[in-house]
Amino acid sequence: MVRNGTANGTAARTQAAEIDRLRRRLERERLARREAEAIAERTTRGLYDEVAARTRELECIVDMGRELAQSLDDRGFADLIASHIARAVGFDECGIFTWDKVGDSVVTAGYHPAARRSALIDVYPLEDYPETRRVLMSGQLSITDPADPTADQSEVSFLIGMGGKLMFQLPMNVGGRTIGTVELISLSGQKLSDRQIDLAHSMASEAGVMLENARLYAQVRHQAFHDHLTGLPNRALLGDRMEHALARGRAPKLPLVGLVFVDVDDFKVINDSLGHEVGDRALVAIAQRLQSLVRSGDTVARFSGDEFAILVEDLESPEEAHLAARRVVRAFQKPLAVAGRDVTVSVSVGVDVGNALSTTPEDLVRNADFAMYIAKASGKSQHEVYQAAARAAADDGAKMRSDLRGAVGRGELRLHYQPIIELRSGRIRSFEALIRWQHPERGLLSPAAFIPTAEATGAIIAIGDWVLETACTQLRAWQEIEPELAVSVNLSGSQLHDGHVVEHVASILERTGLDPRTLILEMTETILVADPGAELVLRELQNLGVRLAIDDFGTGYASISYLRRFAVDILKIDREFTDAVDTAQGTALLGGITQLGRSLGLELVAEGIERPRQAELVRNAGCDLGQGFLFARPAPPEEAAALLRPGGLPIQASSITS
Amino acid sequence: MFDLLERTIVAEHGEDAWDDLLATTGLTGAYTSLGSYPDDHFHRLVDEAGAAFDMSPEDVIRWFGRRALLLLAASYPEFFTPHASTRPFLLTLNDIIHPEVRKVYPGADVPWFDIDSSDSGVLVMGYGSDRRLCSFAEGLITGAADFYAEDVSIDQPICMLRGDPACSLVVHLG
Repeated sequence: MVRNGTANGTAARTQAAEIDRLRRRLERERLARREAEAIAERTTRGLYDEVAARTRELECIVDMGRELAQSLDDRGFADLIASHIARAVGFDECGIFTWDKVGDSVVTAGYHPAARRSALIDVYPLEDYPETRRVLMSGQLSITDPADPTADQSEVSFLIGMGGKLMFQLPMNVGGRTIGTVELISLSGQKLSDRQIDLAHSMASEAGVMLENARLYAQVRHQAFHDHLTGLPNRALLGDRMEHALARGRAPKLPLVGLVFVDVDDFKVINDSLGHEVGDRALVAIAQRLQSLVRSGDTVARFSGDEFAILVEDLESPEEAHLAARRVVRAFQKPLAVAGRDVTVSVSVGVDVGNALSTTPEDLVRNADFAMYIAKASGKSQHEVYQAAARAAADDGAKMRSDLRGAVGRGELRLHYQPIIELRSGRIRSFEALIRWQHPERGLLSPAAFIPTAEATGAIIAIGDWVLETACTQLRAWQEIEPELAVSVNLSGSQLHDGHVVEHVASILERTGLDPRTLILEMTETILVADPGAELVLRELQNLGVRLAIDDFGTGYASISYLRRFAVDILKIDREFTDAVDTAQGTALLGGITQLGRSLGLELVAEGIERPRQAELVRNAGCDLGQGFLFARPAPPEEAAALLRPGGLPIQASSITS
Repeated sequence: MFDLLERTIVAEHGEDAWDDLLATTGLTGAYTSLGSYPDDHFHRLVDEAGAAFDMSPEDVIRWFGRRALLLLAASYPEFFTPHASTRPFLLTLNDIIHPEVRKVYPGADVPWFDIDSSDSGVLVMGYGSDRRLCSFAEGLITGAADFYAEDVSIDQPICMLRGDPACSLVVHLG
């Protein structure tokens, strides 16, 4: 028949047949058109439904992500994940379990509904749940149906225990790693479609990332606020807790907060003698002991190295904190067990107490730390309560130290001069140069106010150099008028010990062209006794030709041996003896000292002469020279120079009766 | 597929030939490019065409494929013009052309070729569809060579039509 369908055949057909053929062709086209329309409608609707379903799924994921991102540090984080997944797939219950590879178990992280969480235990050993293990290892879905006789019985009993009829376990994958499972439980026996499974998978992966982030966040936060070695809160967390402790409550019922500052005595010795590893273990043991002393609400923190701090909150009275401090000191009377041996340590403890009105976290730390230093300074294994007065003194010291550092450079130091008089003639033999500090805020300060600090900080070296230089230059000028005039300058222990003073004196003598005999260096007996090396330095100074004087003689050791050993030239007898010279005993004592001095060939100066009678008695006792307010107070150079002029001294030797 | 077959037969043998084929096979013939239709319809039409034009069914399918490709090239030049020759065009089958076909014809059952292009002169295209339309593939490949004005010869050392588990189309171009 097809073979007949040729051009010739067509011509032979009747018109009716041709019409019939075209009608059939038209009918075919009509059918095809309707079908195409139907297909187009179906396709469009299908696409629309698909887009809507996908959008809904994406919304589920996005909603979950958004909510999770806002509650990264919530405890109910995994509960939230469970509730999102359950809602997205329309399931009754959902559990989130994380895989503890070390413990070979899964740990319950979250459940929806949260109220049902109590039906679960915290840890499920994988040994007992081989099917869960298979899900974790293979990354494959598992369906537990109690009606299936081949179903894993441990999973079935878990499911029945939860009152469920069907359970789906999905692996939770993060970047190719399985970190746990999502378990969807149906109470009605409802199944999951492939689409729902896919969605649950996607959400579980998404949630897995967030769960990992949350875990890392918690870990990082813990690390940021805890000490690695001891696991104790660190300084930052302590500060935070102090802040909170002080901020709680309202006036007038402000909570009283105490800070106990603990410093291990001689911890360096433990480290050096037993090694750092044992040292570290000792710190852990110390941390544990401190922890055992406090109430659950209190915070033991590692402050730094071998320093700990205990925050005690809600005190009834300050004494409670003081008692806690004492308890800490006593707790270390028993040795610590460290690496199989007994290690004895002691601690020094300082404590401060306050409330939001009286203190701040920074003050608490500073004050308790300060009190600890006082405790340590008063001997080890002590505790001390913070006292504001002691602090004020120490604060002054700190400011003084920083001010003093630049005093020479800023030209704030001055020399005042007090004359030393020949008692017989009333002539000025020499001047003692005495340092003053013109403090920009505190006015003119006497050496007692700053020299101890200068000694302690080492600033004394620079100051001593300045004094020598200035005094010698001044003397050279005065010698234009009074060629025999001498000047005496006080040397400190540090200067002697430093040794560079020899070089310095030599260079000054050379520069000024001063007769070395007119420079007198004064020092106290204590310095000579304390520093065995001083002898050599003094010899070198004597070799330069300068003279040496012992200051405040009689108050220290009054040792005759060093008078001989150091070949001292001048003895300055302490004002104590001058004061007592009008008693019979005092006269005898002064007489003894002057005889001793004379027999050694020394010049003798009586210090602290204030009254004419004292001058007379001192001279009668055999002392040729005197110094004191009776003649002149220490004065600035221009005033001292005035004393050199004839009649410059307010009191004349002639007034000293013999 | 069916509308391509219709267009190919009408173009080569006239409208009546297609009418006659439908009448002989008893099929309504209301095929649209959007739909999917039973394979059986295709084979009945091919068998009948073979009888009418005195060709084996495989030759009909091969011939159909070769002509169909030119129709496709006219309708969808964007898949052809980026290439200068048959080989790079064939290499876009799996990743570009067939995914596009699925987009436009959601029900389309397009095969996946396991292409070995390690030899620069020969493409080995593995084919394993249950529809066993390796002849159609041969026809399309030949049509593509026609389009790019290249000579081509295709061997099938193994072929499902000869009882092998899959086909291997060894395409020599040049």
